[in-house]
Amino acid sequence: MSEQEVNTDNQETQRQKYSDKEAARIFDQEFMPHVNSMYNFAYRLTFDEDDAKDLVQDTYLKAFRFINSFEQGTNAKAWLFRILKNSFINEFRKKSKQPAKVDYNEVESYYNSDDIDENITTDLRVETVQHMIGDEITSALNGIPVDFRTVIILSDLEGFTYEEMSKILDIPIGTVRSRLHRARNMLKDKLAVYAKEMGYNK
Amino acid sequence: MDERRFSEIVQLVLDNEADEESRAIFEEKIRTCVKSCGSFEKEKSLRETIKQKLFDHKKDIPNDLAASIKKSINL
Repeated sequence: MSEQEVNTDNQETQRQKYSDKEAARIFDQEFMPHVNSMYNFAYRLTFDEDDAKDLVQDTYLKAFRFINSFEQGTNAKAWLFRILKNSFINEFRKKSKQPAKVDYNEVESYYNSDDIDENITTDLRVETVQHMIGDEITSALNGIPVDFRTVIILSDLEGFTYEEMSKILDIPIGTVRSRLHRARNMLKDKLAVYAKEMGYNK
Repeated sequence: MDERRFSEIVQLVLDNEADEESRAIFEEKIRTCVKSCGSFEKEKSLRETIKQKLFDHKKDIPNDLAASIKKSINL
């Protein structure tokens, strides 16, 4: 784990020098309140309770180790999510129990092509989604590639802005915007297929 | 403006990320086009429904996780 993993690439970090007491207070009051969100994010990335727990514990240990890179008054939640995301990519994904991932660049290129939206989500009705249960929606979300799933989680479940997501994911805001748009279409496409299979549209 | 472009602007509006220009285009479009207004309302409802169902389906955090984290750094 390098310090770069906790800071944004374009951020010239001003290192702090917290006393042990200050560090403990920051950790307890600014970091720990996000443990629930962190665990849910980890679980939606790993699909495994034990793996999610390990990932969150690992993230908090790193956050404490590099606490002098965190500036009080800045967005602690975004900082923690960035560490978790990097831990997942750099260390956890390698030993993940999941099957091989789809190359999201290929998927993104495909979904960025001009004609793809024409066939998508045309028959997904609000009433159909209202009849679905949380398990079914979650399964659809879990069925899209992780980098697309991630932007939906960060935006719709955790309420991050495009700018915050850009810093968490190390991608330009324009890419956040386009990836989120594609991701939502992919999710609706999955839901439409599922609804058809389950006869929700009848 | 084609449907694809309007769809992109709708996403920005719903995310509270639309700039003034996009917002002006959006407002003009839904004021003058019934179909676009319907598309926006549908997208808004879909978004809210999906979000709510995902939110309600959050995983409960393990009871010992917070304590275990604090213990591991001697807090």
